[in-house]
Amino acid sequence: MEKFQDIAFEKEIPLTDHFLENGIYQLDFDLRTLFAHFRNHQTIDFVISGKVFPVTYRKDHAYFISLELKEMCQRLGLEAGARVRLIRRHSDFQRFYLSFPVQDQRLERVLNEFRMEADLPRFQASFDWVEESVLSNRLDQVWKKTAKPTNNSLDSLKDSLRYRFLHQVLEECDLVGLQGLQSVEHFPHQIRTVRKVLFDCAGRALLADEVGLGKTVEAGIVMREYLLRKQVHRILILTPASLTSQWQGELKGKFEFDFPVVDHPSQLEDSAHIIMSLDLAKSKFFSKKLLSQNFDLVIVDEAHKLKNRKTLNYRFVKALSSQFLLLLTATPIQNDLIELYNLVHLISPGSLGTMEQFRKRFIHPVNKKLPINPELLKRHLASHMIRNSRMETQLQLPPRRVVLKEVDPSPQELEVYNRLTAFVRENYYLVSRSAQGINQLTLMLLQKLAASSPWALRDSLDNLAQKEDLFHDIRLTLDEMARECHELATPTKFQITLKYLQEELKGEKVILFTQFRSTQKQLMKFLENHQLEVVDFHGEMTTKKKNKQIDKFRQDKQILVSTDCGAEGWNLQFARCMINFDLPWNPMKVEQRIGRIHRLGQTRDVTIINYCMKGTIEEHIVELLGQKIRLFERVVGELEMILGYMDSEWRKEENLEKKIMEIIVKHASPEEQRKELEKLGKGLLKASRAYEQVKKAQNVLLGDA
Amino acid sequence: MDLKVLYDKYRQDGVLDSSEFLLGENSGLYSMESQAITLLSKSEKTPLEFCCLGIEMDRPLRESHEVLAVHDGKSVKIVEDVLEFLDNYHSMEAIEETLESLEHSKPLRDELDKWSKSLFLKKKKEVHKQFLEDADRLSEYYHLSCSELSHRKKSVFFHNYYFEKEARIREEIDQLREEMREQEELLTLRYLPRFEIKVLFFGRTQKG
Repeated sequence: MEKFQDIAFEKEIPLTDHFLENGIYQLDFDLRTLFAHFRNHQTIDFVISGKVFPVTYRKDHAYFISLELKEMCQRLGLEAGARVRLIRRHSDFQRFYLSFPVQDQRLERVLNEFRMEADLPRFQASFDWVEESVLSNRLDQVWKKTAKPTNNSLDSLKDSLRYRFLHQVLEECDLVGLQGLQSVEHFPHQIRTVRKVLFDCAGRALLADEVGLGKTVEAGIVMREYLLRKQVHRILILTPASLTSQWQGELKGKFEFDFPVVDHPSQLEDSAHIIMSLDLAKSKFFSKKLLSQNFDLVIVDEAHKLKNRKTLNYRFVKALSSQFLLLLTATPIQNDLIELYNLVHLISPGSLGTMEQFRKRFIHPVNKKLPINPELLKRHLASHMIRNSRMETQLQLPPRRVVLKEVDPSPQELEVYNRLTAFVRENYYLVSRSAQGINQLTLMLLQKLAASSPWALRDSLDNLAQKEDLFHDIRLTLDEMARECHELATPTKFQITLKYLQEELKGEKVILFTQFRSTQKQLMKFLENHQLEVVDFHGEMTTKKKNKQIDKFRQDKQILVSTDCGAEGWNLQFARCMINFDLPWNPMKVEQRIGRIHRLGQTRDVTIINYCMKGTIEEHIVELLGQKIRLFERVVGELEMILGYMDSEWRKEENLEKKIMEIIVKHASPEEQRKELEKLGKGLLKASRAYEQVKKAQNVLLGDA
Repeated sequence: MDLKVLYDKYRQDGVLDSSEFLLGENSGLYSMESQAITLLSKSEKTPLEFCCLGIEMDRPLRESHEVLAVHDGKSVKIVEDVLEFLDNYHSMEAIEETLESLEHSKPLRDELDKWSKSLFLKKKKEVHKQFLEDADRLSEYYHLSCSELSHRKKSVFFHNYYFEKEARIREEIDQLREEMREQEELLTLRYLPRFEIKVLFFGRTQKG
C-alpha cells in the first residue's frame, strides 16, 4: 500500500451500491467541503498507484461519477460497504489519492489490465446518456414485434442495404435533399449557407443575409435536409404576426410543407410542425405549453426582435428546448454591438465570453456601434453567424423603371367618385353601430372600389342596394349611385390601359394587378373584346389551375390579370413589366406585387407602371409611397424593416389603411387631405431614415459593401 | 439507376455520384420492410439461422448501422458486412414465421443485444468529449459572469444608492444561477440519444 509523507487530509469512505452499479458517488456534507474549490463538470484526477482515473464532478447534484473507477472496484471484487481511503496531499491539491483494502499484488494485476487498455478512448461519463435499462427496454420491444413476410427478392434486399450504406456516405459529405427541390429556385450562396449550417454550425446559426437574398429559402432547405435525414421531427417557426401567413404560403408553395398557423391551444397537440407569432407564443398560456415541449428545430424570423436580453421575447426563446436553432435577421446590429452578442448567446451560450469580456475585447468605449477589432470578431462569429451580401454574391438586381401615368377622369367619373366619397363620409361614423347601417369595412371597400373601377363599383352598389336589411334611404342612395355608374361610358383607366397595351407595350408580357375580383372580371372582358391575349389568376383557383394559368401566360398569352391574393408567393420573373391598375393602401401589398417580377433570377430591366387618378386619394397615395418611403426603388423586403421602425401604432399594416380611411372621412377638402397624409408621410420618412442609418452601421460593422 | 454499380464504385474508388443516387431516391424505389426469409444456396452448406438488425441514431450523432448475427448450430458469430454474407446465396423466399420460431432465436438475440450495447457505449465515448466541451464552456461562462457581478457588488459600496444597487446585483446573480441550471438542462437534452432499432430480416439458410 502506498505511503505518503505529506497528507493534508484523509478520510475513509464506504463504497455504495449506487456507485458499484452506476459509478455515481453521492457526497455527504463533509466531502462536499473537500470538493468546494472544484467547478461543476470539472474533471478531477483520482490516482491509484500512479494510474490516473478521471472523475467528473457534478457540483449541482453533489456527486462525482466515473465508470472507469466503478469498473476498477468491480474487478477488485469490492462490495458495498468496503472502505476506501481518500487522501489529499499538500504537494498536490488538485488530485485525490485512493487506497483500497486489497492485497498489493491483486491491485497491481488489475491496474495492469487497465494500463493495457490505455490506448482506448478515455472512459468517462458525467451525464446520463443511454441508461442501460432504456436500451434493454428498447431492444425488448424490437424483439416482440412480429415481422411481416414480403415478397422481395434477394436483389432488392441487397439494394436496400446498399441504399442504407450510400445514404449514410452522402449524409456525411453532402446535402441529401437538393435533388427534389425543383420548385425552389436556389442560388449558390444559399447552398453554401445550408452546408455551413449543417456541417460547421451543428444546426445552430444566425442567418444574417442582406435583405432580399433569400433567408427564408435557406431556412426551408435546412429544414427539408434535416427532415430527410430524420434528425428533425418537431419544428416550431416563430415570426411576427404579420408574416405567419406568408411563411405558411412559402413553405407550402416552395417545399410542399403543410404548417398550420397556430392560434388556438388545441392545435399545439395536433401538429408536430407549427408556425406561430412570437407575440402569441410568449403569452402566458402558450409559453407554458411550448416551454414544456422539446423541439428539434426552432426558427425565429426577424430575430432582431430578440436583441435585448431583458425582454420577454429574449427570455422566452432562450428557455425553449431545441436541438437546432436558426435565427433570421438582416440587421443583427441596430444600435449597439451588444445586440449581436445577445443573439449569438442564444445560439451558443458563452461562446463569446461574458458580456464584460466582450465589451472589453470588441466594443469601442465611446461609439458602441464600432468594433475595436472587427477581424477578430469576424473570426469569433464564423461558426455562429452566416452573412451573405449582394456584393459577395454578385446578385445585383437589374434596374427598375417606375412610370407614373396621370389619368384625367371624365367629369362624370369624377362626379361618381365624389358622390360616393361624400356618402362614405356621411355614413362612416353614423351608421357603423346600427344593424341596418353599412359597416365601416364595407364603406372602406366601396371607397377603394371607386378608385379602382366605376364598373366594379357599379356591381357592388347593385348588390348592396338589394339588401333588405339596410335602411330604406341608404338603399335608395346606393341605387341612385349605381344608376349613375351604369350611365358611364368606358372608364378612362380602361381606355388608357388598352392604348398602352396595344401601342407601347405591344408584344411585351405584362402583369396587370388589381385588388378586386370584380375589377379583374371587367378588365378580362374588356381586353378580350379588344382581341388581346389575356389570362386570369386569382386566389380562388386551385394550385393546379394556377400552375396551368401561369404556363399559359408563359407560353402564349400577352397579359396576366391578377389579384393580389392570387399572386402571393408565385415567381413571375419571366415577365418584366407590371401595371398597378389600382394601388393598395397597404404598402406591403404593393411590395409583394413588385416582388413577383423584381427578384433573384430577373435578368432584364423591370418596368412598373402606376396610375395616378387626378382628384382622388390615389394621387396622394402614390406620392406617399413613391416619395416618402421610395417604395418603388427599394429592394423587396426592406419595407418590412422600415415599418418596424414606425411608432408602435403603425406597425400593423392594417392600421395604415384605417388611417388613410380616416383622413378621407374626416377631411373633405383635398388640401386638408394632403396635409394629413403629409403628417403620415413624415412618420414613414422618419422610419425610413432610421432604417437607412442602421443599414449604414451594419455595412461598417459587418464589412458589407 | 443501378444501386449495385454505385455501391461497387464507391467501395472501389471511394467516390459517390450523389446526383445519380438522389435521382433514384426521389423516385421512391428504396424502402426496407422487416421480413422473414429463407436464403437458398446451390452448394452444400451447413444450415444457418440468422437475424439482421438495423440501428439508426439521429441524435446527438446521425449514424446508421447494420449487423447480422449468424448461428451455425454451435455458436453465434457477428457479421458486420451483411452484403458480403448475402453474396453467398443466389435467391431467397419469404416465409411466414416469427423470430421466436427460429430454433436459436435466444442466442441470436442475446448476441445482438450485446453488440448493440457495445455500439452505444462506443458512441457514448465519442459524444462525451463534445458534451464536456460545451458543458465546460457554459460552466466557465456562468462562473465568470457571477464573479464579474460579485465584483461589481463590491465596487458599489460607496454609491449613494448602495442598497438598491446591491439588491439589483444580487437579483441578477440569482437570475444567472437560475439561467445556468436551465441551460445545463437544455444542454443535456441536446445530447440525449434518440435512436431506432429495427429487425431488417431474419430466417434460415438451406440448399435449394
